[in-house]
Amino acid sequence: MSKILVKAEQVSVKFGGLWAVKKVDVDVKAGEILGIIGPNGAGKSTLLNVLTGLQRPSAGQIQIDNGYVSKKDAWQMVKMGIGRSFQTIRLLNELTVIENLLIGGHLYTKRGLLDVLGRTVRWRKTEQQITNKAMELLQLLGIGHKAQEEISALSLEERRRVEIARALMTRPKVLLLDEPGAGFSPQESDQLCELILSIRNRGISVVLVEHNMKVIMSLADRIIVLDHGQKIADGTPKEISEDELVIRAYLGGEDHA
Amino acid sequence: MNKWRLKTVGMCGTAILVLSLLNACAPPKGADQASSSKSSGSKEEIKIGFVSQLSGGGALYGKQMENGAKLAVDEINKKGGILGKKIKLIIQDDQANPSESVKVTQRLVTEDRINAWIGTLKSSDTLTDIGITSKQDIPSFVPVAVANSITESDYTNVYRNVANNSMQAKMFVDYILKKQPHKKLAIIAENTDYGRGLSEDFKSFFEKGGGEIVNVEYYNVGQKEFNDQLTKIKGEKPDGIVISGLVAEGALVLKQAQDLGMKTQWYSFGGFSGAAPIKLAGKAADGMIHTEYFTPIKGDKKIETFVNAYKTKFGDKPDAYYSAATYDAVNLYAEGVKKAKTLDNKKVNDALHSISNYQGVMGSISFQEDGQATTKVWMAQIKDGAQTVIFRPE
Amino acid sequence: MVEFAQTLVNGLVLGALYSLVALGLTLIYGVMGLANFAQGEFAMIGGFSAFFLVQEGVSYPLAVVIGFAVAGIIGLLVHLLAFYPLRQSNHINMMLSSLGVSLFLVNLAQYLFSPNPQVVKSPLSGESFNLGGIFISQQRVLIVVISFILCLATFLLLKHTKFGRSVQAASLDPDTATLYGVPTKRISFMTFILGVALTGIAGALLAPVYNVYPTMGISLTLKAFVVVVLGGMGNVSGAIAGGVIVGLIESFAGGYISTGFQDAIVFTVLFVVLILKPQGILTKVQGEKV
Repeated sequence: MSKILVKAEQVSVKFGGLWAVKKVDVDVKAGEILGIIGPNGAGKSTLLNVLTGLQRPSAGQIQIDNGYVSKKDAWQMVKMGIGRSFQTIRLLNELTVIENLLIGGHLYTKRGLLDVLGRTVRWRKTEQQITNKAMELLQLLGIGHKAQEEISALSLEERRRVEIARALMTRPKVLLLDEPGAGFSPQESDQLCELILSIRNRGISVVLVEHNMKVIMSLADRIIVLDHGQKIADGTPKEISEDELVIRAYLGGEDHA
Repeated sequence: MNKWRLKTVGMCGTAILVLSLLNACAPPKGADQASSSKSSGSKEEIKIGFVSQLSGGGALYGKQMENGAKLAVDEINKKGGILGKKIKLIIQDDQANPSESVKVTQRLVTEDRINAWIGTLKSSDTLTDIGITSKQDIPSFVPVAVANSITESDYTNVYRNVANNSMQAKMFVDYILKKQPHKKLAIIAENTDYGRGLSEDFKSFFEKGGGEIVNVEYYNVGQKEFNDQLTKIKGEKPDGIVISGLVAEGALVLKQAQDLGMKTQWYSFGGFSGAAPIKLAGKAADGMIHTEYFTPIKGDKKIETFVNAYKTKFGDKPDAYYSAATYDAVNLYAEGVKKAKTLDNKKVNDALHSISNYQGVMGSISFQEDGQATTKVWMAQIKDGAQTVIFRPE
Repeated sequence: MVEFAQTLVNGLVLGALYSLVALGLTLIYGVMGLANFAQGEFAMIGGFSAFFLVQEGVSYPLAVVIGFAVAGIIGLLVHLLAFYPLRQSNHINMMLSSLGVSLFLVNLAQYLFSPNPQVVKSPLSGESFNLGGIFISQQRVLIVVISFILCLATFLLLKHTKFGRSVQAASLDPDTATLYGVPTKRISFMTFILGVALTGIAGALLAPVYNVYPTMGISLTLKAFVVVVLGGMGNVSGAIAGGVIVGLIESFAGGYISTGFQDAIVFTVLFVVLILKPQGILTKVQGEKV
């Protein structure tokens, strides 16, 4: 059995009287691609928010590397190895692509003012290292030529790539992607699949929320299905595609519920 | 996002305006320290209402006024009072705030039914307060505030036992033209009624007397930077410079002028009285000549007696004229009552107008018809870190 | 000619001082969105701590350094009590809170230290350089030198360090910055402390020239706001350049137009800028900050 990196137990989020997420268990294992699917409003994004520290759970616990982290802030979760992209892209639009990545890259550097004033060897070395790392990631994502452009000058698809690169820059162990393929052409979707696989090949676990069934069925090792905030199924793509509850949820089962 | 930023910028603009207004006003003051010894309704007492700033910025001076009044009242009461009645001093803090000043004066007049009123530290507060006391013809004494307008309002119940701005400027000009070699002066003035009024009086008297004012520069209350004004004045090469303002800013003017390498004769007015200029400007104040109303000098029996009594009672030597002038004011009222042999306001006012050559701590006092005393100012010079009197009127 | 040169020097010295105070103000605005009306009061705190330390026999240079620390520590307390609880609230509440802090600190100082001005002695007091008729006091030279060093150090700190990049990210979008691993709350704390401590050191430096008294900060806050609005809210190089510009405008307005309308002229320039270029004269495109 591969190691469990993230373990969420009985996680619930309540907005007013409404359960956005209700008693959900999620395990993310090392090196796997975990798909999360469900109809609109099933609680997928809220679950991702809980896993990245943007939303405090009303109940339940989250463990990363066997430590409880339910009360950590978003930046601490980033530091613990949880990277994320958003359905609605969140980048610092006023900066260039490379500047966006450099901010993320500083998470692991230690540099004081004295280093800068003295222009020490260490300063040059780390600056060079994170710049190299950023360029390498941009090449990987196929946007190396856009490094000096401002985010606001990029297309939607390019911004999604930058966001993934930004997340990778913080050296995540687990990368959460929230509908990375939304609005992509079939050809772009294929490129995305290759990209996700290459990320996994670097030893990073991927949690993928995606509407495109073709993408998710071909990529995911395991799939969790949410409906009305609750987990209704958990298994391999094959098991899921044959699951009674899932089929009912997706084929207008809400009418009978 | 951008729109929000613009809104913030607009907001800041508004807030800056508000803050400028706050800045222009006196800062809010602390708690009311006035003794609340309210009227007991006894007919055996003469009640003197005292109003001045006893908390906040000018409290230091208001407190000295209060001490002067207390000392005079105690001495009179020890001798059995006036007409067999003891004096009761009712003290009120006006925080140097005109609306507060009117409020406490109104209370003194209607609730405490005072027989006489003494106040305040600021000319503007005094002006509004005497408007109230004059309605009932209550004898009102102004020992400290020096704006000309106070005794120009046709009130028959207002007395000032200290020289006003105009008299001060006139006597200063006469002194400079007669005793000093400087005929070409520049003025740096506080941009207020006080500073502008004094500087205009000085300029007109000085020019009439044959002197020349090469330029007049202004600064705001609370200003800290005077290099621009001083650089301009320096370019005019005057023989001396007159500071028409108070010591808080004036001390910085002196220091910054010294830093600019300016060696010149400095002149100023009553705002520089007392020990504050030496403390605040240090060596930069050396040589300055300024008008003075009173200094606790040795060799004058009347002054020595007052200074010793003050020291015994309050532990400190009186600084400048605040306590002496208020001390004289209380005694002047007592003199008026003694002469009138009654507490009737009208009769006391008549008696006060007829006072001539009363010998107070500050010198000889006679009230003119408008209530302004024909008193003279002294001249003092700061030498080696101490104030010395260089001219004292007969 | 000498008069012109002297006016220029006066303006530059004043500008250096304004830059230092405005730098703190703009940093805090950038990261916290807080228009801090209590900024000048930290100069008062720096000034008073220098006063008491020098009185106790501490050497002036050390007193300046401690003034920096004292302003920082009081800044931490103020942040905890007056601003941190309002972090979820809107920016107008924060601004009002800062006005309250300003009044509170002024009144507290009046209560504790009396409203009277106090003299701080520096070893440089009363000494001037004479450069062919142009005089500049040594204390003012010190103000210029230290202000220049601190502005440069802050600028480099922001441009070239992890802290600087974090501040940049947090000032652009505090929520998004957390996704880059930026501890926004901690950065906001550190920026506030740095911002007020810079102003504290300004207060300790100007104390020997201007004396110290409880209300000394109010006019300083006002000038710093003019500088910051002129240079672009949250724009660091704008604050530094803006300080020098305002210093020169003030000096030349006093020297060549009228000393009675010096402030009026500075504010007129401000309002013209607000009308023509509300994002500040030194902000090229929207959002070029920190």
